[in-house]
Amino acid sequence: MAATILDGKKISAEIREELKNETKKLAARGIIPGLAGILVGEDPGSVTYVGLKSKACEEVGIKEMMCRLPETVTEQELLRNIDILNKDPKVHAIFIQLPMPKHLSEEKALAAIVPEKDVDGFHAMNVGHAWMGQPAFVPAVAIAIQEMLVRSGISLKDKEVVIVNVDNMVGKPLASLLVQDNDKGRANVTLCYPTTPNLAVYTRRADVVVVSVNKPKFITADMIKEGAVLADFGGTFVEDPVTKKRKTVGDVDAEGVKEKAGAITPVPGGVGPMLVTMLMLSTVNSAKMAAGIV
Amino acid sequence: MTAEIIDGRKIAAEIQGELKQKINGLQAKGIVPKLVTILVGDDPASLSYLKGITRTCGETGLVTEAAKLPADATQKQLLDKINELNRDSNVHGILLFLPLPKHLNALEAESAISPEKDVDGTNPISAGKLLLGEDTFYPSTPFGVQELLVRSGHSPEGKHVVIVGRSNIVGKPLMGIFVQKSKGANATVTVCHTATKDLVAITKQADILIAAMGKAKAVTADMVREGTVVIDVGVNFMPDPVTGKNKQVGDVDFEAVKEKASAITPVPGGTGAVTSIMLMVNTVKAAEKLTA
Repeated sequence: MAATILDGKKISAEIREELKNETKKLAARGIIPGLAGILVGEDPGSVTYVGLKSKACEEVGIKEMMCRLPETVTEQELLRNIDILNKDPKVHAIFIQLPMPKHLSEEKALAAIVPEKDVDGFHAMNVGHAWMGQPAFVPAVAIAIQEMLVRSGISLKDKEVVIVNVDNMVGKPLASLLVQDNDKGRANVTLCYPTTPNLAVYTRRADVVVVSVNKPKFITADMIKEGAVLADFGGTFVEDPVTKKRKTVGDVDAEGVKEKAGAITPVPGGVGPMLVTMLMLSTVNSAKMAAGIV
Repeated sequence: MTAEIIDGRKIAAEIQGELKQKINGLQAKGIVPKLVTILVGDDPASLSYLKGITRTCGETGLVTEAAKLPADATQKQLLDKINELNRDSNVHGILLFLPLPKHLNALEAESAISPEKDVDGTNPISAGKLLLGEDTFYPSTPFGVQELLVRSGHSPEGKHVVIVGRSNIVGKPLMGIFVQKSKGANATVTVCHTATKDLVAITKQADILIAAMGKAKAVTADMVREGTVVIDVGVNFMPDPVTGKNKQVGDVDFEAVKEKASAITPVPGGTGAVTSIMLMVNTVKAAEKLTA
C-alpha cells in the first residue's frame, strides 16, 4: 500500500483558517496580535522569506511591524531597536531574520529579546520551560512536525520516535515536546546523531522517524519498518537528471520508501510550508497569553 | 558472571579529594565557598538530605547555612529570602529543598534563584542552558550519574543510553546531558517511562540502562541484556523480610540483575553517595566564577 502523503500546504491552510477565526475573536476584544521582525541588510533569501511572513500576517489578521536596518548598522543601534520592540505593548512577538551581517553577534541579538516575545523559542528560559512541560515558545520546526502528525491522526502516545538530528532547532526541541506527559506527547524518544553507530538498528524499530541531516537518500527503505511514519526536514538542491533543472530533495529516499512507509512528509511541500504558519500560531498564542486568555 | 559494583562512596571520596585542592586555592585568595539551603517546613526527606549536605560541606571545606522558614511561610517571604541570598556576595550557591508546602509556587521560587548561584540547576534558565549545551550547573543527581559512569570507565560516548523515567529533576536532565557533543556525553539516548507498552523491548537495547522511575525493584533481570551497565537512581523504602525494619532499595532488583549486568550501582552506596558532593562541585565552580 502506498504511503499517505502528509500535505504541509493543506495542513498549513487549515491552521491559518483557525487563526483567522481566533484573530477575529481577539479583535472583538480589542486585541490585535502584533509581530515585529528585524531585517538587517538586503540578503535576497531573507527579503523573500520576510515577504512570506508579511503575506501570512495579512492573511490571518496579525499586525506586522518590520524594522529594516541598513547592512552597516552598529550592534548598539541593533540592540536599541530590539529594546524598543521589547517595550512596545503592541508587539507580542519578535523575530530576527537570520543570517545577519558578520559584524553583528546573532547570539547577542537573540538573547536581547525578552523571553515573553521570543517567538522562535531560542531563549534559554523558553527552552527550559518547554522542557519542563510549562507553556513556552518552541522553535517552529519542532511544533510543525508535532502538529502535522497529530492533525493527521497519528498519535504519539507510546510510539517509538527516533529523531536523527541533535541540534537546538530540530532534535532537542522536538524531543522536548514529545516526551511530555500530555495528549500530544507521551512518546518514547531516541535522539540519534547521523553518525550514531548502527543507526539502522534504531530507525528500523521506530514507529516514527524524524530526519534532518541534509543528505539526500539518507533514509532508505531497508532502514525502516513496514508502516513507519517519516517526517523529513532535509533540503538539498540537486539537478534533475532528466530535465537538468535544480530541485529540492529531502533526506528520505521518497521513491524507495513509498510502498513501505505508512505516511511521509514530502520535500518540497511537507514541513517547509508549515514554518511560517507556526510563527503565526505562536504570535497569536503570545497575544492571548499577554491578555491573560489561555 | 557477577557484575562489577560501581562504588559511589569511593568515587565521592575521589571527587572530594580533588575539590579540597580547589578550595585550598580559593582560600589562599581569601574566598570561602558558601552554600545556603532553604528549607520550608520540616519534610523528613529534606531534613535528612540537609544533614548529609551539612556533613559533606564540613568535611570538604565549604561553609553552609540552612535558612529555615516555617511551613506556613508566604510566597513573598520565600521570594524575599531568595532575593536576599541572590544579593549577598558571600553566598555562592543556593539550594531550595523540594517539595515545598502545597500553598507555595515552586516554579516561581526556582525561577527567582539567580542562574549564577543556581547550583542545583532548577531554574528553567539553567535547564534551558543545559539542553542548549551552554555553560550552566547540572542538577546534582544526573551530574553524579555522569561522574559515576565516566570515573568507573563506562563513559557513555558512542553508547546507547536508555533512561526510564522522565522527571524534571532526573530523567530529562540526564537526556540533556548525554546528547551533548562533549566529553563524557555524545551518546544515543532514549527516554521512556513506566507506562511504556513494550518497555522490555527498549530496555534490552541499552548499553547503559538508567532506572529513574521511583518504583522499588521495577527493573527486573528479564529487562536487562547480558553485559549492560545498570545505574540505579531510585530511593525507595521497603520493610526487610527478615528484620521487618524499613530499608532503602533502588528501582533495580539488584540481586537478580547483578548476575546479568557487567556493572551496576548499589542502593545505598551508588548514585545517592555522589549527589551531595556534586552540589559542592557546583558551589565551588560558582564561587570561582563569581569571584573571577
